[in-house]
Amino acid sequence: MNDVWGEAMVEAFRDMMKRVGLVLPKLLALLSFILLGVIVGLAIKAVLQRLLKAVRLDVLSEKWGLQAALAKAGFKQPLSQVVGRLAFWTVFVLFVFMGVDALDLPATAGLMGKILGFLPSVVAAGFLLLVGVLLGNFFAEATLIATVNAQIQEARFIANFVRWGIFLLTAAMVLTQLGIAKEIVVAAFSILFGGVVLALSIAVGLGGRNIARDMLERRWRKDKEDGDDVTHL
Amino acid sequence: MGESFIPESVRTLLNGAEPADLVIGVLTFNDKATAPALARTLTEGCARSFPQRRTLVVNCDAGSQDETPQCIAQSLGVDARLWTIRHPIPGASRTMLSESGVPGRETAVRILAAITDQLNATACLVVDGNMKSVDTTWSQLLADPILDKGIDCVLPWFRRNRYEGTLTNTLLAPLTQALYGKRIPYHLGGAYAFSGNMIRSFLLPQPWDKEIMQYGFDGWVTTLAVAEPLQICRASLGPRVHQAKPMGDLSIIVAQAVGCIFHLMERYQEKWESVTGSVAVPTVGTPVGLGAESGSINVERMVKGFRQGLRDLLPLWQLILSAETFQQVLELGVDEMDRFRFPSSLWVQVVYDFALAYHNRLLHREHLLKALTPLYLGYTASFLIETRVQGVEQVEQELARLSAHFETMKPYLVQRWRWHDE
Repeated sequence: MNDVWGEAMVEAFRDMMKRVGLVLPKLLALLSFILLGVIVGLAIKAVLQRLLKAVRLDVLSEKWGLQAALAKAGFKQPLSQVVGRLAFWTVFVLFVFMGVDALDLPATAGLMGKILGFLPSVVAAGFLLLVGVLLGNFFAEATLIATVNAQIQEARFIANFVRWGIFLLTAAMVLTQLGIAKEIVVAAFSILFGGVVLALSIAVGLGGRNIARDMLERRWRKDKEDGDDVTHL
Repeated sequence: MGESFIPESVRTLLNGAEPADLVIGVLTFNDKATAPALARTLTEGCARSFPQRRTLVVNCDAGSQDETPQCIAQSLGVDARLWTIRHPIPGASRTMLSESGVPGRETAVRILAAITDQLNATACLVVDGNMKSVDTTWSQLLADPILDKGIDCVLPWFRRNRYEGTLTNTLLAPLTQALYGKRIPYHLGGAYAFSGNMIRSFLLPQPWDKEIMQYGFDGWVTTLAVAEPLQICRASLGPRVHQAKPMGDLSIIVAQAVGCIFHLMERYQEKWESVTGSVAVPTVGTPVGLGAESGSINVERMVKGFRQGLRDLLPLWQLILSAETFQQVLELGVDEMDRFRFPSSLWVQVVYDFALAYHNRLLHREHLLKALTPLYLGYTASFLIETRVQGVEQVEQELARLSAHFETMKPYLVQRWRWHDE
């Protein structure tokens, strides 16, 4: 009885130690990958930021008005820092996934391959999102200024309509790029966009007849009153 | 110096051409009604004032459909030395605004400058073909300072009514005066005269393609004349009567005219930073003041335009204006129409803040310039309300006071400009 009990104990201990012996290196590999991810990420971030500063990216982005547009999109830091931080996190996440892959868990088998396969879509979607936000803000600002200068009272509404129209289009494109519920996104966008246009048409055609007439009359009167003797140049 | 802009037909004309002392450039585009008489008047004036000088008339036409070049040739007769050139119209130039209505006007002037240079002429006159008020004295007023007095550039000075050119009188002219220290009327277009020296040393070597396509020729050359070390004068040419052509939206006019000065402020920073005070520029002809007529003006719509800007463009103005200026602008919106006042000192501060924001690229530059329009309307409305019952002398005094404000508040601009550059 005692021998059987003793053997069972020893065997269980051996099995446990064997498993620990198998898992421990993998855990160490995970920790090493995380540590390496931080070190390589920081190194790449530092090199990239220096390189971008050397080519005067911040000055150029300020000169091209990109910095102001980025600030409006929520990025308050200089462009070189934003790019550096993005590079750090990309490298870090890649190393973490490598570490998780090294654990060789059945649930995460081939994770790295899948991630790498999905990465181009994520990068493209991120780029689309950034461009969409920048364009949305830019065109909304241009519309607002133009409509205010034309003394159209609904200036802010029109500008917001332009902004959210572009944001909506961007969101649909990003989701399609990521392959998330493609059919639903396309259908939802078509319904929503078509619905807005139809609603506007009906509103102007039926409900807004009087307003439209008033607006045209005002515009007509304004044009007639435009015979000012003030010249600007 | 690259001369790729000169058309082949002009090269052919230049080959073996006889030298000329004076080149008269007439810029036309469907100006049959005015240009033939104008060309004849100018040549008659030259023949009378400078009988010994060899004169060449160059008609730069943008492709008139009404046979303007043929009518000019007919009007001048066979004895006159006339070249007719059809100048190219670059794509970017189609959006440029000019009361002359001549597309590709800057290319035409550049070709005229090249012709003056190649023929070794002493002076070049550039006159818009839609001018109706040209008389025989113009040739002398424009060319004599260059031919006989060693002046490099003659700028036009027209007799205008009290509320003609409000953007010029309340922003462009006083700002240029404060920056470069020379009192010029900043009347854009109509007629100019350049010396051969100015053309060779300053006009032709400039980056024409990049700058003028963006901001137009008139503001560019006027700023160049006051910023560079050139001898300049203003020619009093009487009233400006012309076949007006549509100028387009006010915000585009503001953006182009003000953008030109702001852009050149960056190039000439070292020159204007150290300038204090201003000096009068010599005048040829009888000095003119403002005309008394005020015409019909819709001040109410201007105030409405300002108030709408105050309502809708506040977030943008907050970015552009300093905290102190912004606070003062905010307080303007509450007054009744008749009591509406936009103080001159505040207007100057607004203009300087916009110049700084343009320099610091706080906003897309075209948006920034166009966002100035409601503020300009506000100040103009206030100026009109304040002066419409006063005499023309008071209006002139008010404009002089405004110019003085621009000069005294210049340190505000210089300090902040330097602070950003550091």
